[in-house]
Amino acid sequence: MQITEYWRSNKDWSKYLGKKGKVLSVSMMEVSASDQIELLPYAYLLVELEKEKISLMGVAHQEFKIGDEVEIVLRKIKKEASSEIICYGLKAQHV
Amino acid sequence: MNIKVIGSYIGQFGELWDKSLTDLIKEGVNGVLTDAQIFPSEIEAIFVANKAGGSFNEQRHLGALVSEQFSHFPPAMRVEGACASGGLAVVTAQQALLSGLYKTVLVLGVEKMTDVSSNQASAILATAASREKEYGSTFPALYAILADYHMHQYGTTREQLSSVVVKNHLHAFDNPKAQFHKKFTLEDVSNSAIVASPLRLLDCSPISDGVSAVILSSKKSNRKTQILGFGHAQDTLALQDRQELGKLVATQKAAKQAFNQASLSQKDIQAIEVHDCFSIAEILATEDLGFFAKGQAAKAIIKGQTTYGGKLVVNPSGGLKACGHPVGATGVKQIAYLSSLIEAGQFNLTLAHNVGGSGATAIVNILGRK
Amino acid sequence: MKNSKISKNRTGIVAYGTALPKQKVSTNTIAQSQGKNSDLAKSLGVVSKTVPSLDEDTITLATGAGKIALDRFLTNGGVINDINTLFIGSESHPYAVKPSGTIVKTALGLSNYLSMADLQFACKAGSQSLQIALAYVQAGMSKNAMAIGADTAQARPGDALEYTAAAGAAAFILGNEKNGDQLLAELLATKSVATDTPDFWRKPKESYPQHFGRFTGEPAYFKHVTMATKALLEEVNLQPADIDFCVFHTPNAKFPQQVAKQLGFTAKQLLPSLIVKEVGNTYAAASLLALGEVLDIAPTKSKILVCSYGSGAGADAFLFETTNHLVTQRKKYSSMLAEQISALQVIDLANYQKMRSQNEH
Repeated sequence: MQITEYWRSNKDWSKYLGKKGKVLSVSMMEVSASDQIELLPYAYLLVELEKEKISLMGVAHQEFKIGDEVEIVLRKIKKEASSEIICYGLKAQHV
Repeated sequence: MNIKVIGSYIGQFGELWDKSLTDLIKEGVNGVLTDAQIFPSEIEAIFVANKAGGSFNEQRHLGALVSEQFSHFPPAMRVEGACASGGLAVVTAQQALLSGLYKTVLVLGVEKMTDVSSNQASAILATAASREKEYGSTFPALYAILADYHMHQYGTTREQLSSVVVKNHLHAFDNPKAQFHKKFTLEDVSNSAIVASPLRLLDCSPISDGVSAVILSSKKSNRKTQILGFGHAQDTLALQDRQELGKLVATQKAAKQAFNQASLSQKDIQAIEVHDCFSIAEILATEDLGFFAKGQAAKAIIKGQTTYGGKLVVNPSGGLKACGHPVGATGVKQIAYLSSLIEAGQFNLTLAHNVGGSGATAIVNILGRK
Repeated sequence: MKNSKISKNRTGIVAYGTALPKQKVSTNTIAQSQGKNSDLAKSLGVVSKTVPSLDEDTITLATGAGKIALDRFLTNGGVINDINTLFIGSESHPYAVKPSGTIVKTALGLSNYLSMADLQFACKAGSQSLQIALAYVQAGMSKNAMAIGADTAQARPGDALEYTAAAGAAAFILGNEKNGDQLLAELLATKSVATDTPDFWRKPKESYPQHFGRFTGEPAYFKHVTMATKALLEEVNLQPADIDFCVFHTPNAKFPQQVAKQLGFTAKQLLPSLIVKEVGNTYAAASLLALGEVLDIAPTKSKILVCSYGSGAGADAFLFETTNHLVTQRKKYSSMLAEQISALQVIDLANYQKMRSQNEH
C-alpha cells in the first residue's frame, strides 16, 4: 500500500471502530497477497452492520461462520519491511 | 444490420514460455486473417482486449502494437474491463459497426501472464476488486465469499462445486487448444489444497498465456455465424455494496438485454460458454443467465444436465478452468469457439458470458444462425 | 487532611477502559519451552500471562482500551472534542520516532487539537502519563485528558522475565468537575520519585532488555515504591489503615505482597489488585490495569492508593477516592476487566512458540 493511500484510508477508522455486526459470509484464506503471508491463515468476512455492509479481514487466530456476532477493532493489516511504516486497519473479531 | 463472425482464431492456451506478448499478437493476427480468407487491408479498425499488459509485461499502448502488424496501420484501441475485457472488446467492436463508421473490424484478445511470479500475478489479478474496500482479500477469497453464501443459502454442496470442474476437464480433453488435458474425479477436486475456503486449488482457473481473435463484419458473407444480440451491464465494484450476494445482477441484466435484442429466450439456446473463473462462478452464471432457477443449477450440473445429452452444453471448450484463462483473450475465445461450432453445424444458437471482477461488469453475446 | 494543593474544581477519573489480548499461556508451558521445571514460576506467584496475537501491538491494545473508556465517557455525557490531551506510556512503542498516540487518536476520532506525546520510563510510563494528564486538567489547559499505559512486553526466550512479560493496556479519561460527584474517583494527592538506578535497561538496537539480577529488588523496586508511598501518605497525613485498597506495581506477585507488608498494608487491602497472577506483568499498563480492577469492584468513598514502579528508576504514587457516581455508572458497564480475564483462552506450547517468534521486534 502506498503511504498516501494508507494515510487517506485511516480517516475512516473512527467511523467504524467498535461497531458491531453479523457475519454474512466468510472465507478462510490459506493463500494471500505477499503483504499478508505472515498472517495466514486468516478469515475474510462480509459483515452486516446496522446500516451498511463492510468487507474486511478477520483478526489473527480466529475462525468465523455465517451468523457470528463480530465487532470492529484496530489491528495490523500486514507485515511490513523494516524500512516501511506499520500499516494498521480495521478487522473483525468475535464479540 | 447483420453482424457476422467472418473469421476466428484461438491460439494454444497454457504456459507459453517461448512466446512473448508480441509473438502472441502476431500469431493471433495471422491466424484470424488466414481463417477469414480476407486481405489484411480489409481490416478497418482494431479492438484489443487485454486486462493488464501494463503490469504483466510493462507494455501498454497495445492498440499501436497490434495496429503495426498491418501495413496500413488501422485505427486501434485497447479495451479493458478486468476479466470481461474480451467480451467488452467484442461489444465495443459491434458498437463501431452499428455506427456505420466501419464495416469490418478485428477484435484481438491477448494476455501474457507467466513472465511474472505467481505472487505478482495474484496481486495483479486482485486489481479487478475494489482497492479501497477489499484490501486483504484475494480474487479467490471474493468468490469464496460468494460460494460460502450460496452453500449456506441454497444448500449447494462441495461435491456439486467439484462436478463443475470434472465436467469442464472432460470437455477440454477433446479441445486441442485447451491448457489442460487431464481428467479429474470429484474426490480429486474436493481434496485439493484449500485456497480460500470453501474454494480449493482445483476450483480456480489457472494462470495462462494465450491469444484469440475474431473478425466481425456487417458486409454480406457466406459465414453462418451472426451475433444476434448483446448485453452489457454493470454493478458495484465491491461485494459489500451489492444488493444481494446470491446472484450477479450484472449477468442477469446483460442476459436480458441480449435476449431482447435477439428476440430469443433461454430455451432456444443449445450451448453456452460462461465465465467459470471459479467453480461457483459457473453455478451463478447458469442461474443468473436464466437457464436454471436460483439455487437449482448445482443439482442439475452434478446430474449431467449441462453436458452433452443434457439440457444444454455449458463450456464445451472446457471453460476458463480447463481451457485456461489468459484474461484478455477469454471473452474473445468464447466467441471464436462458439462460432467454430456453429460453422461446423454442431449448434445453431449459442451464448457467451464474460464477467469482470466479482461481477461488476458482465457481457453477454448471443450468436448463431437464424 | 491537607488538601491545599488540590484546586477547587476537583480533578479525577471520569472514565476508564482496559484491553487484553485474547489468549494466555501458562507459566508451566513456558517452563516446558525452556526445558526447565516449574520452580521459578511458582516462586514468582504467576500462573499465566497474556500473549498478544500476530496482528496486535501496543498501539492496537491502547486503541482497544481507549475505545472502551471513550464510549463510557460519551455515554456519561462527555464531549469528544473536549479531550485535548493524550499521553501514552509504554516500553514497546512500535516506533522509535513517530508517536503511538497519533495513531490511537485517529482510530478513536479525537480532536486534531491535541497535546500529545509518547512516554518511556519502563513500567511507570503509563502512570506518569496519568499524572501528566491529571495536571493538564487541573491546570485548566484541557477540559478532559486521556492517559494510556500499554505494552506488548518482550523477553528473551529462556530468560526469567519470559515467565511474566505480558501484554495489555489501560486507558483513563480525566476531568475536572465542580462538585466532584461527576467524577468516578477523585485525585486527592500524587507524588513521584526518580533516581538514576540501572536495574533494567534496553538500548534502541537491542531486541530485549537487560536486567541486573537481585539488584532489581531492594535498591530498585522496594526503595522507590517505599519512598513515593511514604511521601504521599505523609502529604495527606494518613496511615495505611485509613486506606481501603492498595495497588503496587506487579513485576510478579511476590514483590507487591512484600512491599505492602513492609509499608503496613494488609493482604486484604492488596488482594483485588493482584491480577498479575493470571495476566502477567503488563509493564506500563500494570499499575493502571490493577487500578482498573479495583475501580471495577470498589464501593463508594473508598480510598485507593496506587504506586507504580519504573526501572531506571522511579515511582508514581496516587491517592484516589471513589464516588457514588462510580457505583451507579458501573452498572451500565460491559467489558469489565474480570470478564476479559476469564475469557482468556489458553494456548499450547506450539502456538505459544509460534506467536512468540512472530512477535519479535
